[in-house]
Amino acid sequence: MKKNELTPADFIKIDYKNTHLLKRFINENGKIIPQRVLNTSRIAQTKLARAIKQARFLSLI
Amino acid sequence: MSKVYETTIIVKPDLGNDQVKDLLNSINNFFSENSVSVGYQEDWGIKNLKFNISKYSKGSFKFMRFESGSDFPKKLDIFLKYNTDCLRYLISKTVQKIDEVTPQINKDN
Repeated sequence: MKKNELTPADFIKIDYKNTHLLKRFINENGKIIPQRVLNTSRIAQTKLARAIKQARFLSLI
Repeated sequence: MSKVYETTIIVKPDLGNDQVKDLLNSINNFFSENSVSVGYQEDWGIKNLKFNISKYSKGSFKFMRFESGSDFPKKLDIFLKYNTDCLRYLISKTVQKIDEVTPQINKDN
């Protein structure tokens, strides 16, 4: 399995509290990896971006 | 119609035991005044923050999940905004079950 791959089991777990999962989808500068690189669906990418921004606000990642 | 909400609060790390108890009691009193019961509560402990929040590099995380109408989160927002012991907070709607364990509790930062 590739490091950046988002499985259907992971899709349900996308949440700002699950920082271990979210760290796979940001680069070393903390930026969100774009959809064209990750090959995620639009719904998954929107959910990811929202969760990452919420985790950033709480200073978790 | 009631929905499930959750809130994460970052409390100042240098508070004494009594001050933390007072803060949690005041939050619980606020819940009971509005006749909302705290469904599930977690203490994530003191964590290192990834960036400083008002000159604090550590924060004590409290998490609670509750079921209420749509007007209560707005009241809670105002209550936490003017609380001086609370550094930052996030109130959000969730689809998770009310007593689901969060992944933060069994992981060291």
